[in-house]
Amino acid sequence: MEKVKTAKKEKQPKYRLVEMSDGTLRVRSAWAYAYILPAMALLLLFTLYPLVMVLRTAFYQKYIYITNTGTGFGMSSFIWVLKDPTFWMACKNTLILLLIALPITLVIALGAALLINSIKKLQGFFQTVYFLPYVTSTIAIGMAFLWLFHSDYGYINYFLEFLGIPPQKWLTDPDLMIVTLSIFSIWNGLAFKILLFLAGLQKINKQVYQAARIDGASPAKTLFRITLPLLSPTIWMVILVSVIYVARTFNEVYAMFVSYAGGAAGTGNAAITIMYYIYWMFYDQGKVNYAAAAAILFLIVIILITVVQRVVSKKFVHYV
Amino acid sequence: MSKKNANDRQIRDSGSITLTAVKYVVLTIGALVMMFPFIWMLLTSLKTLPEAISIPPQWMPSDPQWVNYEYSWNLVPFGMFFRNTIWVGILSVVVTLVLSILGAYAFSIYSFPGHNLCFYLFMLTMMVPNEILIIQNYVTCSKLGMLDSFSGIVLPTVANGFYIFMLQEYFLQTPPSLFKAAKVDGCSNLKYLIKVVIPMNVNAIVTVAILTFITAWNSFMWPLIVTMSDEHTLLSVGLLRFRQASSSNLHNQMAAACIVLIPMVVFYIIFHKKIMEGVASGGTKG
Amino acid sequence: MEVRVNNLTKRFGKTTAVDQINITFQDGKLTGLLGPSGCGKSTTLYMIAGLESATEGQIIFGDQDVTTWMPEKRNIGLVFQNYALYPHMTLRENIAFPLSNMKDPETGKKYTRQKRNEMVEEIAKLVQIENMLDRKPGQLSGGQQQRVAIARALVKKPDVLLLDEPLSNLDARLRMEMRTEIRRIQQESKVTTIFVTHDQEEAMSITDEIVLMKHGVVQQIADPHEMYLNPSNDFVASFMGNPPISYVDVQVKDGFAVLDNGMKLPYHTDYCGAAKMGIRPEAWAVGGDIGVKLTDVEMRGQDQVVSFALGKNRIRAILNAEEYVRSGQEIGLRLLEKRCYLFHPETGVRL
Repeated sequence: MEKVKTAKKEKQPKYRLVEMSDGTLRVRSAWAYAYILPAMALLLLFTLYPLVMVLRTAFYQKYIYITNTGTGFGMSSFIWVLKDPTFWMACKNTLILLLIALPITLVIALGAALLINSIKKLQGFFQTVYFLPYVTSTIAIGMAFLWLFHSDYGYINYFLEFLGIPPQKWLTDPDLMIVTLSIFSIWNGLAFKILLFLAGLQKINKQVYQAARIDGASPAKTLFRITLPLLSPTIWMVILVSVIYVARTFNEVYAMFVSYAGGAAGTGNAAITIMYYIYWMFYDQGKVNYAAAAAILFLIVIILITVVQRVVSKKFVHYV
Repeated sequence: MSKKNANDRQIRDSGSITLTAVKYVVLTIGALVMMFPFIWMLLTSLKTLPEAISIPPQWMPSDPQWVNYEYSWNLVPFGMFFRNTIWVGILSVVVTLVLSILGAYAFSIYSFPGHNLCFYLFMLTMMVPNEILIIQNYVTCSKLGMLDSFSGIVLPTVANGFYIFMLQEYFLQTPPSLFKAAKVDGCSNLKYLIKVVIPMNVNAIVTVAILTFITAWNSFMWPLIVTMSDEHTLLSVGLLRFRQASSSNLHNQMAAACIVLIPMVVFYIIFHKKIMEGVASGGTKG
Repeated sequence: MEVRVNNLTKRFGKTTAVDQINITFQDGKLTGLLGPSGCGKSTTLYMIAGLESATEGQIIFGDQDVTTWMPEKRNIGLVFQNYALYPHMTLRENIAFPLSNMKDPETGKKYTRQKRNEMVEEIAKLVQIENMLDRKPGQLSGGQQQRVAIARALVKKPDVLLLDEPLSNLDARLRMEMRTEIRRIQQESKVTTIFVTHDQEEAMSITDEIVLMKHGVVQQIADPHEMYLNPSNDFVASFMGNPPISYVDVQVKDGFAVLDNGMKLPYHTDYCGAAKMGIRPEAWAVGGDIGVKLTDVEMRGQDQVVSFALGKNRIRAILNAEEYVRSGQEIGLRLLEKRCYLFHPETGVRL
């Protein structure tokens, strides 16, 4: 080595490699901002900014939508919403969907998934059929249900008459409307849950079942001691996803009970949900600050539910 | 190993045949319940009005009334709604993919000040229901002149934290040694994304594309609010316009609903494997 | 309990996985089902367990035909390749699970909690996991999970213990340790054991008897010594031993085996004619009149493996480590005839 040449400093790289604590290699470079900029810009404009604005609007005492100006900060919008019987009706209906319709959906979906998973032939066929409602438009399929529930021409009343039950006014009787909405929601919500349960069941190691057979466990015991405990993370995840989803029920209400854009959710608003209440306040009633207050209340509840779920899942859903 | 030979002397399993039969019967009844609205809709769309509303029900149309479809197709501009919906679907998929892939890549490859803050901001979009933002987004769109336009329908919905989160999880699974090798080979970061990360995660990306397309195709609340003219109306909203325009002509309504449903059903039948895989992996990843 | 299979056959569609095999697994012995992957050994095991149905033939436990019995009626223990422990249960619950499904043969009623615990502790002591019974399988190493799986299989005092490649998921050091453990546990519990493996060394080191299979057909049934020293065909000879046996094509006559190039190896036999001659690597020793040129020398420590050409065949031999030889060197070797075997040139059957 006669001449040790100092390598001419070519282009100095604009980044530095960093080894993270978990062994992954990260690049330290300002280019990262360029990659997240497009998504971040839309996020700021259409999620974060409106969130702040909705919060602001909710605290206005008077608000003029066209000019986007309001006067007087205070809790009056919240108080008004909390005193509005329609809001409480929306809460009640949403709770019925959450506490009655959703558990029914989950049980049926779990049963269907277990059945499909236990058969050998036509598994794919049944899976495909049961999943169809997920991909089809709720509005379109709602039109079919609208007519099936029709008090004069509907097949459901015809079928009930067959069983000796007098025809019901499914779509106009304020006491029955939430039942109708629940039935439609159950039918509409099954597909997604069956699919997720099946995916969870198929992830369970088949040899564990063989081991259970060798160990002499009866089918019922296998279900309760092996399958359900092993499926519990999936069950919990499905509950997590669907609670938020059901709390946001809107399309089903619109499809079944709303006759024109912005109209009330059926006779006396009896089928209203929280989400529909927000929309209705905003779009039809034009009381934007009330809609915003309802939205904030809704958001608080959603965040509370999420936090509770996090805590519960940390406490109870851990194995392996 | 699962193919059973017909000649096999089956291991005696008392009552298993009846049990299996019961399972199939229950599943078939369930399948009929799930399919019934679709079948009824299809049959009704081919009936005359008296046939459609007759009690006791007349199940089969005596003479298929294809004219119902012609009438419905022309009552509101369904052709235009179709074009709009497909266009919005494609636009949503493309924009969502670009944003999510770039974002997920940044979070999985780069380290930069504010990395975690930005990440949590995206997580926030997963918690905040989009619907409560419509109040303000309507104002924003009107200020930006995006009311009643495709960009107005698409842009507020595409910055999706869930897809960024999901893709990031997949991207992180790319072995770090691969990245080191690419660096040794003098591969730029953008090239690494295009040549290595994207091809290696095609499955996850297709999943995002499918989920986005289905969501866009069936989206309802926001398009309902943000669009007015037929030129920008999507199928689901258009169907409601039809419902108002057609008063209570059951047979025509069902023909219109079928017009909206059949393309999605065909799409589903063709891609059902991929769609179900996608929804399952998307759902379970969350 | 003695286990016999008669003409046992399994077909999947058109392929025959197991073809008319007849084996007797002796009472209280550890029998290895050995063979390359896809030879039907696992299928055989699963048929014995009742998790696969037999296409033809019989499976007999003692004097009872169990061919169509449900697995849970056969009173067997099965250890799976990936252990298949119940991940949500503690070790205690895992091991007690089989007991919770059966009746106490003494009282005819369900096991009492106390009795169950005693049995679990006893078996846990046997497999040496008694101090971790309240952990869950996810917190254990592979070797420990293996012990739990064996405990779960043994706790109900099965008539037959079946092990499906139980060591294949362990690293090399643990595998050595666990195989002696399995031997010890088997000898202490004296249960008839069938052990599936693809590793000939594993099979030879711990089993009482080996059943070697290929393409669903039993090649030879013998104890490890017999199987190694007296192979019934060239497949058996090739499969057993490492480094493997080497072959040369020869003409045998007048006390010599003659290679294609005219080279003569001493071999005394009544047979006369063409043959495939298998030579175990340890048949060679330094100091003789067979001159060869070494092409490769691998030092292994306790001995060394050398390669050389004999005619057009490549031969591997194990030499004493003290002989200092180098690649390229020409040396004289002698051959131990009793470690050489003649096989039929077409069928491979031992002559």
